[in-house]
Amino acid sequence: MSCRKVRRLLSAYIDDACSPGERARVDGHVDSCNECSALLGEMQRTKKLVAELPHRRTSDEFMPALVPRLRERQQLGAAGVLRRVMQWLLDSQLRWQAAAAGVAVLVVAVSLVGVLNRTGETPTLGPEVTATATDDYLTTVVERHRRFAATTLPFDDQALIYASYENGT
Amino acid sequence: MPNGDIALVQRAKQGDAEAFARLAAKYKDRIYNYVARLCGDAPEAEDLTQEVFIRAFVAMRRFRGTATFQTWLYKIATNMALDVLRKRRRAGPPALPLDAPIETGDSSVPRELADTAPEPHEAVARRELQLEVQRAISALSQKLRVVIVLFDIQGLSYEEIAEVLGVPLGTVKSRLFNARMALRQRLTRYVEQ
Repeated sequence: MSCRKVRRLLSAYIDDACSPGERARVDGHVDSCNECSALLGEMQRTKKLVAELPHRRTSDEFMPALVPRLRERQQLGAAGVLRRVMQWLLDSQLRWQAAAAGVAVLVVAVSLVGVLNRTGETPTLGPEVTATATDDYLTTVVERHRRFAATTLPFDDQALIYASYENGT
Repeated sequence: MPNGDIALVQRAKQGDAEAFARLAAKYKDRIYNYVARLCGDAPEAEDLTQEVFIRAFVAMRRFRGTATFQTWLYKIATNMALDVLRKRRRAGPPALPLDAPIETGDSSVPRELADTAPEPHEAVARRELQLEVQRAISALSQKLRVVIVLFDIQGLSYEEIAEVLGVPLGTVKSRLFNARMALRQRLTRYVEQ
């Protein structure tokens, strides 16, 4: 194995992260290569220097400062949940109201369509005058006026009125 | 996930601050050490660690348990620490280095730290070395810094690091290799034989 390939494995080698085959190849190479052997030693000492840095610890004030902040967040979290539930209920109420309004509008619209769609019918005037818009209808109206005039108007006026009906004026 | 964490995590997911506080007490030093080594600044690191736990508590409902709680915490800590580093880079170098001389009219005197009891030579040398190693880590790019701290200092496995960073295993290996080569370069006088 070339020095270049071995060197790429040295970091994993010192971490025991090489495969058995790779480890064997590195072992075999460094036994006979002074430069790679020296590099291996330097990397091991570098790793040791870093690993031996003292581990720092938090101050005694750390937890006394953190705990109240966590409790505050807990309360904010509970208030937030309550606020979300209330908002959901309000939204639900609004949704129900909107749905009810929509249904009402739909019912009115359907009713109007039903009314406007009635065909072949004239407005009802009363049982005694119900008739199609034909000569029969006009004859009936004229007959009714004749009977009315006979009871209320002078004879000469009655004649004039009947003549106008006969002539269509 | 460790057995002791499961019940606490379930309660914390329901918003139980006391349960979460117990988790925080268990992991605070690990996270603090991590962000301190990433950011190279111990005082700021404690504030940042607080913020990591606050954010984690707020986000607990979204924790699905596919990763361990520790891995999830490291994810949050990594993102927040890198945010700090990016802002710091945009802000530029600090106005006054710790050892800048003090101007006094027509002369200047060296800035000195508060007097302390004399230390043994070995302790001073060890502290200087540790400062040098931290400077070398801080000089790495953010991507390389994160992997070297997570592996060599925090003790996470390759797989855990891959999960924290959301990258393939091969990427973790490659970044560790590059980080160690760069550190070796900076720390030549300490590692050469």
